[in-house]
Amino acid sequence: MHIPENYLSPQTCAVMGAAMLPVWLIAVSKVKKEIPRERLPLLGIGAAFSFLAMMFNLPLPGGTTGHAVGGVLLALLFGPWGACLAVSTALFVQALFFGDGGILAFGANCFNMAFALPFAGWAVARAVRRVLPEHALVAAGAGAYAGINLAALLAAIEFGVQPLLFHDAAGQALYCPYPLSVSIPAMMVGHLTLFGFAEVVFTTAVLAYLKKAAPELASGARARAPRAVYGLLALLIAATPLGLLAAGTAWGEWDAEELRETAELGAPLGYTPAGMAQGFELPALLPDYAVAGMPEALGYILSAVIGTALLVIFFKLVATLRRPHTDYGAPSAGC
Amino acid sequence: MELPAWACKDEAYRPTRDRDAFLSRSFLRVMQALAALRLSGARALSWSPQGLLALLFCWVLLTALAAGLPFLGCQLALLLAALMFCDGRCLRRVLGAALAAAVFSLLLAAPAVFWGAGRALLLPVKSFLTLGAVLLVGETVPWHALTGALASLRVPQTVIFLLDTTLRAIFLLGEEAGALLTALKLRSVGRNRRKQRAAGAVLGTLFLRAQRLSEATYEAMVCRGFTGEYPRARAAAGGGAAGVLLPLLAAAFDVLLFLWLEGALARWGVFG
Repeated sequence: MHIPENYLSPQTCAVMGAAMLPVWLIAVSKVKKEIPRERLPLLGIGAAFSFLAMMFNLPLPGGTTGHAVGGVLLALLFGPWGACLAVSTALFVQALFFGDGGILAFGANCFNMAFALPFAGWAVARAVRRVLPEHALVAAGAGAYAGINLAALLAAIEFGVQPLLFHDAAGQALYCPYPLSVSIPAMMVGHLTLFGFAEVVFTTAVLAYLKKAAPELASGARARAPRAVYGLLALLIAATPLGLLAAGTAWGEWDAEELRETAELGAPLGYTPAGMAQGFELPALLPDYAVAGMPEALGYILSAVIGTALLVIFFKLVATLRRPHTDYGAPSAGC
Repeated sequence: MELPAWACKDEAYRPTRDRDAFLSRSFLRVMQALAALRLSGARALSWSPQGLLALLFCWVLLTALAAGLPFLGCQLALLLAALMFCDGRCLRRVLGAALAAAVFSLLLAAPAVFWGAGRALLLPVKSFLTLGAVLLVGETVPWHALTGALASLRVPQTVIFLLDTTLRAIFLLGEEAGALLTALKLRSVGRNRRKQRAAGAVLGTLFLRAQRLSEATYEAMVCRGFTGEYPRARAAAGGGAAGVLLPLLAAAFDVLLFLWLEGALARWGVFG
């Protein structure tokens, strides 16, 4: 679901970035107010979970792949604003260091996965919780399913409006060449079935594990991550090479050569859209989570470790910038 | 009784503002150094200091020898993973210094890169990795345990003695310097035109006290039977057998990784 560089026109990117700007500003002030300083490192660990969830690529018959996002899990643990910041940071690390998702398309990716996904998922989960108060996991699953599908639909719409708005005199698209009639079914088939299911499994499995291994964490009472959380992170990192089993590229994430060969309209496309051929490109540090001269699986694990550590370190550093706040009016914990 | 005229006058003495930032700044700097010494090794690690030193030595050597990005990428991942468990302040100290060193060596390497030696770009990465690791060990192991570990690694006694006394003297003299600077600050009212003299006097007094301290230390040592033999400092016991084995295993893993990724294993026909 990561929209790559040059699939959206710069105008679209600007609009989406402008839409995200106030969201980020509000999110920062909300997180400052609502999440205590001691819990910020935990938010980093949450961002790391989301980062890792996005590395597990699942194959779908027909050659495309997809992944869970984990945004709803974060929204349920830290509130939607915290989730928005955490997923945004994870997406930023992916775009900058690993070339997954474009730098220009960062605003659009954040709008889909860091804004629409956690908020919609959180709202649905709350609504279901109200109807079925005993079934927290069912509510979380419903939220996760709704959230990821809304995000996929938004991404499909962003892809699909490109050929309508931006094409040259010959009718060839300048950016993403596939219209809404192609992009929406292509994106939604995968997400309504396998990838939506993956998000549900990821969200409910991690929530159930946390409830068992660290119940005070799931309820928001504890500020420090217990060992169980680090253990789960390590397990996920070690398992990331499973994501390599999925051969193929996610829909809408082909590179220029792959795009020429795609036959979503019946026949191979046969041209590289002009906007893509002369588009903006920023070389990433570890493109596609791979290190030259190293086996693919090891490169993948390495990328997972570096990304996870960067996210946790970033949020720990941010926590030191905030002054500690002592509420002298609060009842003491020891009594 | 009538007060004399001069005592009835309103006090209107306002000392002119003085730029004495040098005082406050050096005071802060001294106190920071002392705090760093006091806090060093506050995070207890169950690994033994000897093992950690061996691992650090291995780490620095391998990082310096590496010629390719894959191995350095692995080192970076390992270092970041270790840093992940530090708290925010420790992270700021370690990352701040290591990044500053990396930027500095990038500036040094920039002309070489400009003239086409792209491999010079490995230099900043290497300086970040080595300095980050050294600082991280400094943060996790207290000073006295480090000198103890050096002694058990057969470093000459004189070196250990010098290191030990230096660290202790830094601590004692730092407190003296703090007291002197506080006194100077409290007594400085109004504008001080002879700042060099004030700073010089602080340093001079400090030197005299240091000399007195060294004489007193030596006399105390002689009184207690010092014969020129500095007994091997007892290394802090850390974690038993596992505390020694784990860092050595980590070092062995690092060596294997180096041999594999730098192509030595393939050349020997062992693997790959």
